[in-house]
Amino acid sequence: MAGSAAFEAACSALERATKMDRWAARGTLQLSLMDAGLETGSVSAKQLRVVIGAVLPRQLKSAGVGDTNAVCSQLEQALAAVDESGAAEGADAVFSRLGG
Amino acid sequence: MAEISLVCLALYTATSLVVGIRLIMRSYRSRGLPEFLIGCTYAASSGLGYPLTVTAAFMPSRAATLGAMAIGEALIVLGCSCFLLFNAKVFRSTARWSVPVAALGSLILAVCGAAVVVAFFSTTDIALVTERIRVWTVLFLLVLVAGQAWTAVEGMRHYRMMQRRLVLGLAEPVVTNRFLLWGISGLVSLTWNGVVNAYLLAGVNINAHPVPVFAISFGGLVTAACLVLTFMPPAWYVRWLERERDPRALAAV
Repeated sequence: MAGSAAFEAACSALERATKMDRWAARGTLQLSLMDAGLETGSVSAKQLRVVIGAVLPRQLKSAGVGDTNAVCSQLEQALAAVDESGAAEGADAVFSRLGG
Repeated sequence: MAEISLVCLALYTATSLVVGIRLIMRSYRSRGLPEFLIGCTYAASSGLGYPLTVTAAFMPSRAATLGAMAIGEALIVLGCSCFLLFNAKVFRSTARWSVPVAALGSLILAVCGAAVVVAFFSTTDIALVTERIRVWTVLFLLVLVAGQAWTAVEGMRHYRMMQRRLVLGLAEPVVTNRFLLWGISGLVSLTWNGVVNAYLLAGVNINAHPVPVFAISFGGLVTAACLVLTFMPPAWYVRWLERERDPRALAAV
């Protein structure tokens, strides 16, 4: 299944910033998203920034990546250019409107 | 026992109608399709359609009975179809299979509903009508139970994900709890309708046997409570959820 625009941008940036191939980069990010309770198809750039700050460094270290800070900042730069217009609304956004 | 069941169902019906109308009004302001779909689900099926079909037998003339039955069934089909579409659009919006599956379910529901109405129009013998509609009612409930199983799975899956997001500050406790309540209401409705369906299949009068009567009463009561807490949570409940969340958030830091 295709990922959201933010996820795809982060995957490409991770591939460029490390020696990981496409599938290793996607897998590493997917594991981080699973830890954070997020899905590749609907994750937004804002959510990914939180994951990059709180979860991804641990995954990168376990994957043998050295300078995790530099990699994370490259990913954040890549997310700044992501166009999220037309992205599907997540179930959490819908449910936040339904109550009250 | 039958009286208790009736009171619980009346409570569920009234709650559904209020919640459904509020959600439809909200959809008018927000222009949101999900609010409209779930509002229609509760207002049309359990709020109006179900009571119409139940009270149809007590109408003063046969024409009025048939009219109430036809309108009631149409509203039930409309509401249940909106329910399937809500699951598809909200939980599986990017999956290619979700809307066609919801549409297929809606088609089956419409055929079953039409068959029930035709059976009522064909004869005045209630025993014969009951016999003729049994298979259609079972098929209708099977689709509904499948939809409720879908609701339960999605609700619980999202609840688990939201719990993880809470730790990172990516979710609110009230919204997280809403998914839990959604999952519970799916599970309860699944059990309630599953029991009714099993007894219908066995040829038992579900209004006279204590097990389906209890399932309907208890299911109606719990579902009504879930509806209120999900869509119209009282202020004390919201405060309680936020207070409950605080110690865990601190522990996670």
